[in-house]
Amino acid sequence: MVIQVKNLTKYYQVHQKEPGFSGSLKSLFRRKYYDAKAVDDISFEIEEGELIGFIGPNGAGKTTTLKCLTGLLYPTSGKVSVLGYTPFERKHAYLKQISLVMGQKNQLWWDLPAIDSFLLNKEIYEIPDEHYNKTIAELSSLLEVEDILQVQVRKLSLGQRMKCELIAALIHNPRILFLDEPTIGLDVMMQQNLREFVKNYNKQYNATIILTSHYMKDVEELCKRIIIIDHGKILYDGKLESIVKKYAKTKTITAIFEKPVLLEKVKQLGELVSFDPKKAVFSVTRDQSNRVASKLLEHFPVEDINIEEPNIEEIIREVFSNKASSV
Amino acid sequence: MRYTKIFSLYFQSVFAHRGRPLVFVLMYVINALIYLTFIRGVFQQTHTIQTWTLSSVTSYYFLLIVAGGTLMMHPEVPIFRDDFEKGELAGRLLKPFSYYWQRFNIELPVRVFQGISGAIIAYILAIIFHADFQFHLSLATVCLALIIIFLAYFICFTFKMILALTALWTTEIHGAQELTDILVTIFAGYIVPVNLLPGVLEKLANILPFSYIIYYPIIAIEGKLAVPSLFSVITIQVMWLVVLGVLFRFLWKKGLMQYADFGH
Repeated sequence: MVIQVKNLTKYYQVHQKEPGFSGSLKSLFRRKYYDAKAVDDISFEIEEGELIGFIGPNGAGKTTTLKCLTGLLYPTSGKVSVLGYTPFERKHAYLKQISLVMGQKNQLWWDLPAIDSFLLNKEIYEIPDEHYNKTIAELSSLLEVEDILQVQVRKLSLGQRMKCELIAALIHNPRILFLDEPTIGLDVMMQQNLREFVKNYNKQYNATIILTSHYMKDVEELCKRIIIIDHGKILYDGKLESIVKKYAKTKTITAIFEKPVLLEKVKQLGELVSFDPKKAVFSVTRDQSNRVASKLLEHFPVEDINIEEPNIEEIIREVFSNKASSV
Repeated sequence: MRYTKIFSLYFQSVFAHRGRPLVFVLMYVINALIYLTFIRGVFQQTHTIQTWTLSSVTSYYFLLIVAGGTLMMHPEVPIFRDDFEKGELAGRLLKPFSYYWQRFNIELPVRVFQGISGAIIAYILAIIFHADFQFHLSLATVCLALIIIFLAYFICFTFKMILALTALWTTEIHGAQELTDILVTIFAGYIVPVNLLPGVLEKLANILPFSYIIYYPIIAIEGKLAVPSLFSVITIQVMWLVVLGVLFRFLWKKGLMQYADFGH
């Protein structure tokens, strides 16, 4: 296990001010604080080479967990061990093996070309010349940014900047990569490029990758295992396909017919979501999907048929609506 | 070698933002000229005030431009703005390089740039005002003066880092920063050389760390201090540096335990 988290709890002390001038006056003499539970007694383990998705709404505790794992935050209680180190001690030997990329933060020098930020990281991480040159060549080719490394960062597009951020974070070949909303703000093409890159990086270097994202597409394409967190508590920790089986009670069958069919005949097969004489969309229970599909093929002039799992976002919504009681 | 490379990389950053440090040097020039105008008025009534003549005091104010640019730094401003308000501290904390030395490496090139610019301007002003720089130095006093300058740099840097760390407890640090600037202006020797301050203020100036950042390094490099006095200054500087160093480590450790990095 490269990451072991046991009963991790992180509370923030938050100042609460009553509204208005009198509230401001009162808070000068007597401040009220309350404990905001960002992470509440969570435990999990991660093996080397895993690519895990952390899912949850805003304020669920995803980023706080990531920050505790990297060593940015001191846990209120519980035990965290990453690569055998206690993250909060931030030993240099530990920091040389991890990297955190935050989609909304720029760590590159704004007014200098990205290559200068890479050179700075090379010195800070004490990377030998040969290794540095090889890594830069590899990563810039993989991300297709060879031509922009010497352009001022401020003149790069968001997508180009994000790619350079990734290179800066990977120069030292971290064993563990924490990605916090890496595709936020990027266009669809760039999101896809980044996903491909993350997938390849995970395979090529056997790096452990922990990803948080609001885009379910990121999680769906990259992660076999997901951890769903809400109000600081883990609602689900397991395989993505298992949660689909558990929460996706229905499947969608779309049939396209060669010639028009009668509504009366079609609606006997299952719940119709939409219908026109040459196309029918059904919502059927998982155990009925094969039966409905074979009946369609048997009794109707089917040109094309498609059986789909429900959208992963719907499943996650289902998990949140059933939380505590069913998971 | 590693530190030299890091220094040179940060120096490029200073060049990319050269306008701002140059404007800061000009501010030191304007301040020095204002104080000089005032004190030249006083010297119309008398030829000497204590150990100072018009020529030596003029040199002092021009050296103040160099000392201000080099030794009186303000790392607390970018630290508060970038690391705390914009949330860049997280990125810095995850580097295998101590935060103190990261910030030191960011600050040093700015100081070198301002020091060199300040020295050029001071030299030009000295020609215009017929100031007569007099450095009564021996090898021993030069070495001791350089140690004083070196310690002054670290005292100021560590003090300002402590000031910046208050952001871990307070909403903003501008109040504390402005207060410090007032204290520095009075006690570091900006308005008048410290030994021209009224009795109580002079005593206070010799207790507080500020005069050991600006005033003493200037008069040490001018050769105005005898070897025993230079050693006394170094002793007090070392004491201040130890106190500030311990305080910084304590606050850094305590502060990070409650660091929240909210909203970033």
